Amino acid sequence: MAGPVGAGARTRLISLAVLLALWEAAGQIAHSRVAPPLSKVLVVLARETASGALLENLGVTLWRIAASFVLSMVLGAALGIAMGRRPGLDRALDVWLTGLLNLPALVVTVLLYVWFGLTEAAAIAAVTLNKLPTTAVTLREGARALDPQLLEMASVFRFSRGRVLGHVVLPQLAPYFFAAARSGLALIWKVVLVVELLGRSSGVGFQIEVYFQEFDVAGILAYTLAFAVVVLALEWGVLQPLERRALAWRR
Amino acid sequence: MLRVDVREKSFAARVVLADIRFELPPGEILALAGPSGCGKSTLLRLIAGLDRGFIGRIAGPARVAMAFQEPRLLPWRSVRDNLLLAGAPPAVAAEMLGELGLAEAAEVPADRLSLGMARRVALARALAVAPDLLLLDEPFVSLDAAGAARARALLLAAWRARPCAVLLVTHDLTEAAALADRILVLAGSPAGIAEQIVVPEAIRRHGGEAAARFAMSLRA
Repeated sequence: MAGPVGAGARTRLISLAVLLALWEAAGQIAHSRVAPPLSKVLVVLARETASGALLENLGVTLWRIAASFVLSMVLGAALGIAMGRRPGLDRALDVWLTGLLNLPALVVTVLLYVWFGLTEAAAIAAVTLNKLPTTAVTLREGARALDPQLLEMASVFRFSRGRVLGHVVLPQLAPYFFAAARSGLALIWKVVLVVELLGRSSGVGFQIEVYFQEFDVAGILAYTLAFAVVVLALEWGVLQPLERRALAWRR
Repeated sequence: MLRVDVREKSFAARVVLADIRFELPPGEILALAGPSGCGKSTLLRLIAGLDRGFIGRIAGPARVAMAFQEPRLLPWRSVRDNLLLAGAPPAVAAEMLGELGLAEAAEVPADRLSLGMARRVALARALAVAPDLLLLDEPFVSLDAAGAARARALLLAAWRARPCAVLLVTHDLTEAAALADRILVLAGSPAGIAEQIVVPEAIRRHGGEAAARFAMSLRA
């Protein structure tokens, strides 16, 4: 298996290098303040890192991502599992869930800021509410697909509630959790910047707004680059290895 | 003592079971026989407490174990953990796995087993929790003749070591005659007890030829 995987990684690296080279060349040719080459963006990146501003803003944004990620996963999973297991509850709440699912991120954010002020809590609630319904829908699917035969087995052998959850239910829901986590990270890291831009005075989203007002595209791209690297590191370094471990029993 | 008194069990508007009354004292093996689809498994599910939608009363011991038609193991846990999670004491689990020839497979994830092995694990799990009432729903179906005979011998050996009340659902009269003290034949629509057969002491649990001949005489 080492051959094809190694070849895949090499192709990806070459592809990335070509992209970066094209960026540099285009920037040099355009020679414009609004289309800076890679080298200029890297200079800004180094300057912002040295001043500590980049790490501070990145840290604040990552904290908001983490808080709303955990909140939306826990609350969304609880809601989704409950709806998947109880048809009555599902019928009662389905319209709400569909409504929330289709509510634009901008509307949720603006409303929460209007009602609760430009606060940290309102910002995190806005990001959470944007992610929660997709988590709920994904885990509702998982809860509906639970194997009734295994649940019956657990009931005959008098499994405790904790044992049913830990050894019968959660192993079946693991793939759905990871699907929700994966799409959740992708959604949250886009929404969080909008939420910051609209109502916070710190974070990557706020910093991008500052650069936008100054028409400083190099600054915008420097922050975007740093942010993208962190998110990819989370995906490849944390989420994917966890997923492989959790699903290892399937070979 | 298991006391069953099922007045009526219906699915939608169709009555499938009616007026089924019997008792199963501790230490007895009772077979529930009858044609496929006559409601044997439905009755077993009522007794297992998996379906409470019926008119009547069922009272039995608290410690119940069951071997289903399918093995129903947790595929993401090892063979040993499947026994422990069901409530088997570790020493008993190890002993039971040894007796059923599964000692080597104790650490294997349950989803890597062949069907025959998975059935034996399911039987080991049901026996290892030391139940007062053991429910068996066609546990040897889809095993080949030799495999089924071996599994029956293992079941009897485990039962002799620790006799408990056993309720065995089977469509195979030979199997019923080879294992049971008594056979209840379910028939009709809605199904009721059509016949009660006491297996003669002389051939009880001798298996093989004697059981086959006795089953033949019942069919005639």
